[in-house]
Amino acid sequence: MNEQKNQEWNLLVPLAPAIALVPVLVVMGVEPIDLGFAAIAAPLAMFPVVLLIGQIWNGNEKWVSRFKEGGILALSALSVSLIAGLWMVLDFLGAGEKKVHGDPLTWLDFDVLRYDGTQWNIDAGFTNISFGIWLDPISAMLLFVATFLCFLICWFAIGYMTTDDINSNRNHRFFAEFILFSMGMFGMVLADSFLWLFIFWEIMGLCSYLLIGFYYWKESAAAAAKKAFMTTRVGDVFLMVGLLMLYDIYGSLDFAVVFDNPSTGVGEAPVKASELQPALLMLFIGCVGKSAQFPLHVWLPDAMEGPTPVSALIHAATMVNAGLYLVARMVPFVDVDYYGVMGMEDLGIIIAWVGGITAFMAASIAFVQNDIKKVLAYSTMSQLAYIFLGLGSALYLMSTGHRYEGLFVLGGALFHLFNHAMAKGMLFMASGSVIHEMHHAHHELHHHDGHGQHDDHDEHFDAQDMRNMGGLASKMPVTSIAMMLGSMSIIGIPLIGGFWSKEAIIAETWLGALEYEPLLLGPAILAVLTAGMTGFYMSRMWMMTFAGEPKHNAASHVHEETLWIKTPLITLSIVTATTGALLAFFHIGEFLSSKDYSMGLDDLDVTKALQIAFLPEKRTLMAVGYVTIALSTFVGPIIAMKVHGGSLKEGQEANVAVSWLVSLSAAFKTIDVSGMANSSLSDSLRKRLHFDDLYDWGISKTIAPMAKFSAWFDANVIDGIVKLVERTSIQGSHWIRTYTTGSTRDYILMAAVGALSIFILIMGVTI
Amino acid sequence: MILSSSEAAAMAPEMAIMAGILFAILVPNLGDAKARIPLTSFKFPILWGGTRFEITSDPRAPGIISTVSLAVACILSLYAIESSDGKTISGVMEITGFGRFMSMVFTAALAITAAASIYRIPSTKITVDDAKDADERTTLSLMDNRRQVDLHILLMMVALGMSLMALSTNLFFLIVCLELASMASYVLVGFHKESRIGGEAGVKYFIVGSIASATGIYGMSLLYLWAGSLDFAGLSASWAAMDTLDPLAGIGVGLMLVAFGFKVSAAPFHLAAPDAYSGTNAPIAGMLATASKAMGFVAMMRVLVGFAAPNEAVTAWAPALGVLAIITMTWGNLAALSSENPKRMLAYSSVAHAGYMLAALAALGSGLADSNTQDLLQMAIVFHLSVLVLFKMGAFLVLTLLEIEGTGKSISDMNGLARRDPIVASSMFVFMLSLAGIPPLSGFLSKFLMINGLVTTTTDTGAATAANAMSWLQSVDPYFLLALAIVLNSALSLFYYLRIGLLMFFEEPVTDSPLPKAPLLRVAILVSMVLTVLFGLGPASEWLLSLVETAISTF
Amino acid sequence: MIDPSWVSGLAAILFGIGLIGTFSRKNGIVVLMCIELMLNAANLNFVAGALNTGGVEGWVYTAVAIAIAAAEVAIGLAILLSLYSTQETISLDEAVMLKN
Repeated sequence: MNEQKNQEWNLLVPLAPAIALVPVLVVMGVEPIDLGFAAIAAPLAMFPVVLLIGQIWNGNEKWVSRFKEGGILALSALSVSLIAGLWMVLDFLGAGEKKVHGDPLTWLDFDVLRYDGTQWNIDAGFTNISFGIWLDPISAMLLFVATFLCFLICWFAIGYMTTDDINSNRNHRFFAEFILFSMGMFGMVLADSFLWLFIFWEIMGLCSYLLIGFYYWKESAAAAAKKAFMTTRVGDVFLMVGLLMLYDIYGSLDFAVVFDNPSTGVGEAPVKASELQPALLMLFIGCVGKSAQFPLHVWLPDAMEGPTPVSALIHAATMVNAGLYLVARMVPFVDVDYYGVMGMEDLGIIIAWVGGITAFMAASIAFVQNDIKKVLAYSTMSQLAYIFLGLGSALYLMSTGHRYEGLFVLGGALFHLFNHAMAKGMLFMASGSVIHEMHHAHHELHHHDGHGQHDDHDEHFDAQDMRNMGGLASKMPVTSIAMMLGSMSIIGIPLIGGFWSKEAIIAETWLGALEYEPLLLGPAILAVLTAGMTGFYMSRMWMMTFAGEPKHNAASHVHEETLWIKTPLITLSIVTATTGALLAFFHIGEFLSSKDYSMGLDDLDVTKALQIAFLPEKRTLMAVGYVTIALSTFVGPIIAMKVHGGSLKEGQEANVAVSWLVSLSAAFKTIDVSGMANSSLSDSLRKRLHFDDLYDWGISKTIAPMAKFSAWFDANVIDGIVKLVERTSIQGSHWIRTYTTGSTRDYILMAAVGALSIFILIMGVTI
Repeated sequence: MILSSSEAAAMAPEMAIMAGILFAILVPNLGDAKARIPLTSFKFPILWGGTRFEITSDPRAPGIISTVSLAVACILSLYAIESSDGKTISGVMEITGFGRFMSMVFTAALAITAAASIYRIPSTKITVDDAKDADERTTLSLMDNRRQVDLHILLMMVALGMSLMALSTNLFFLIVCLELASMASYVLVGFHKESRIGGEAGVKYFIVGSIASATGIYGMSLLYLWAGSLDFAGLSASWAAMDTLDPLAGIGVGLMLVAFGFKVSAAPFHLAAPDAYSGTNAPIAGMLATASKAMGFVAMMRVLVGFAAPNEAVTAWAPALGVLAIITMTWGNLAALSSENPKRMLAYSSVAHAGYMLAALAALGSGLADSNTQDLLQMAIVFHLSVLVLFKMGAFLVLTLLEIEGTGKSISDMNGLARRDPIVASSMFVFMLSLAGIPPLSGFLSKFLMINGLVTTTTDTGAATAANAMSWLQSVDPYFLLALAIVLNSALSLFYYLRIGLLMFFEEPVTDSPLPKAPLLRVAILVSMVLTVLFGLGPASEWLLSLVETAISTF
Repeated sequence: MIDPSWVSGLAAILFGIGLIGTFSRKNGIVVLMCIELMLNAANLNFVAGALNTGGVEGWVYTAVAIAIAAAEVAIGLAILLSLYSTQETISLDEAVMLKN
């Protein structure tokens, strides 16, 4: 089962033509911006191929060993996207200005019937369904994140999915859905109109449903898939309403039209904030659903029922970022210095509050989770909430004319998106690695015991439960280092990954709160508290998994991972560890916030960032910064170590990179909190603050009766009508077919009658 | 009639078909026969007769010849679309982009038919594989060969007639070409003469068809009496000069409508069509549903739009056509609902599609269309005719595959096709969706163009002055009902198209045996499927649309 | 010289007889003959038109139309024969295996 196949590099040969495709296209004279079509088309074209071939060659030995049941094909499609994406981003960095595909593919032209107040007019060719590529700093950054992580996660999935018996002969479905999902993400990022953004958004929703429910025979997985789909649908309905409102205001959903001058709508009419703000709030509710924010957050933890690569893909790298992306797209609407609409302050404040509440709530729930993936899920919610908080502050600051600060925090928020995606993708993959090995170790143990080979050997054993782990640092060096770096980035340990961006968000939110708007104070305080809590639960997760002694037999029998799993971990570890350098060398914050809005933030580089983090000009901000650092870097982790730390088992050596942490934690280990774990607070935290119960209750009181009525109405009235129509049509069909008697003479007679009627019609009409 | 070299070059597609016919006659008769020079004992080979060579007596040879020559004709036509310069030939033909586009459509449909027919029609109940000894084997393969030659020569005849028809500028020549194609297709319908239904299908299709064409010829003779000329130019001038409708002209055009109505299987002239489709084999039925229908529509457009176009005084035939269209599409869809034979179902669906196109024609004749919307409507019809070759023919190809296997008589033979062969089943599903007009398939695009054209034609007049939606609805022309009828009928048609998908994907298969191999047929199915998708969305559809636009501009 | 309108009048009568014959007779051969009548009516019209216009066109049309009619008969008889060989009838009312 677990014989390591390290000699599998030759499997990557099919990638060569895919990798060559983009350079060939460029040599052939394709504009870099047009590579976006290739980035979307490659996975889209590969989707049916993988599905069909997988269905036909199901179980074929070569298909399994050489193509990894489609994984290699999926990877090659994603490598086309990756290289196209990289090429576009690099070209974009070189050119440094917004790029739009000049001649979008037009599919259909519509005439639009418009009511102008007195009469209906036809605007011929007024609008069309066309698809083009829109590349600005925001989409360039997300394009890089999406293509890079999709590629790595697909790579990881090949190692993770194909070595598990439970998936064999259905992996092609996984990979097909995976690349369709990736296609949705690339399309959403590159789309040049809100309409296409919405279409790809929905494609992602569908694929996330399919992927979360990949183990559909498990009741919990099916329910989780349904829950994720339905919850995000609630948001999507609002999103759609918001888009219609936008369309009503601007007469188009194309970015080019809408962002050209957001303060004038259709027919140069000035746009009122009272019209625009509700539309944007509707859009925001859609984002709340997609990015799992309060109060539509309930689907994300359950969605961990999907395979781990799916969790990494959906919940770190791509789908949850879609909501952030859309909120970031709202900036031009409020940018009052550049054609923004006046009076949109409330939008930013609401977004910031939602972010603040979610951040705190999710972090507190994460305190008591024992499932390693659930901890990560709540951490995702919490970190996304930080980004929302940052975006909210940015929107607020810009709508009040504080453009410099606004752009700064916008850049910080988007940079945090980047850091979080990288770190969380890595964390999920590392957790997948742990789960994978735990599962196999358990499997092997039982295999040797002679328990037979059925899938669920032990109903009580949960490979994801951290209470079964411990001491893995010695067994899984790469994973433990990756997990440590990822956690540090999420916590915001100075100089690593998320630190830079998180500091920017918190500092600027405080600035906004203290200088301009007291209402922002709430989210600002919550953000600081959450920073400390993050330090605790992330450290706790690491300690429970890697430090201490193995708490279950299986945990002491894990092996190291395959290269399929290790490679992405190493890659992402490097990225996370060097984010500061990225900041220094590529001026990434400046890039993210300023290129398109030409006010230079030239000095936002590593020195500036260091200055903001450690030596801000305002004393209060400095205090806030140090409190944050203290909470997240020292207080949180140390408490975690006190509770969950511990040295490895006698005779086990960990890698030097993590052994210091293990010994540190062993030194701190003092408290036993088993009493506290049973308190009512932790109980209600464990029940996720009763949100699910609340929703269940609410649904049973309101929607369920309505649904019952609808079901009755549907079964009796609608179905009745449909059945009636059906019966009548079938009867009509039988009746009309009796006129085809089979006798040629009748046919001739009928034709003669027809001819006669034609005469009557022709002559009669004329005379 | 001797063609100059430049004229011959302009007629290259027809030349290719003629060459195909010639080869199909010659090649199977090549053998090792020798002739003795008189008075000597010296013999020399004449290659004609005697024992046939292995390769020329292969029963697949005629099929390959006709497929190749038709495909060559198709490609030649495609290349000639842009470069056609309106050269007139013998006073009865004009090489136009439109004519070339239509010959491309016809030859493409027939090439697919020919390719699909390669795997079919053993001459007797005993096939070559069952032969007892080498002699019998030779005899049987020879008979197979003969039989195949007949079929493929007839197919190429049909192609020749249709292709010439598209070029004609003279009504009489048009009818002659139409008759050439029709008579060959009568024989093709009755080609399966061993089966009891084969002969019957042939007789029915022949009798009704020839009565229709006799009616058409009579109508044409009336037009001759009326105008004194059968050139389209002459007819057109006479028609435009009319102040009120001359009864002779009205009856003449009406009778021609009857003839062409049969060709496009418009109700109530369609009644023999379902019988013919279900009595003959699937490729031929596919040919009737695509090429034959396209031929009828081209002829109809030549007559109705070409010379009997509505002038200020006379918009005679549009109401008749409108009524015909609504009856046709409703009858077709309704009858298809409960059809248990897939070929009958497709036959009725083809009747319904004829109704949609007749609706567009009626709008063309309503006198409401300005030159822009006229182009739009014509584009819709021509585009529909050309993509119909893909998905209608594709559906018949799938039925061919079932027929080779010996099933395909009942709709329940579709059961569980997805389990037996997912690619064929999903192709069939794509064809069904396209027939139903589901976006983003080409069937949707053509239907969308049709409805768009109809709506633009009929609503332009009232919209600007209407104060609200209701009064706007009241102000539109009655021809708007045609668009409404198309929409309602599309909804009705979904029932039976999707039913096929339901059967294929959710029913248990009757047998688990794989479908026959027939590689060429499968390639044809796949290509049709891919093109059905491509021509619905993106650059490929734009290319085809621009091609259609070029064709229409030279109509 | 006969007035062309008489010719075309005769043609109309012939066409009517033919048309009525096609759906009132059930013998396939007789129906075929009726179709011939209809085609001949057209021929007469062409003759009348030729007399009217005085050109050669009409005569050519007539000749070709006769050829069409001949081809029609040849094919028709062959197809009817194949019906007879399998169903042993040429009555159009009895060949009703295909219907609905």
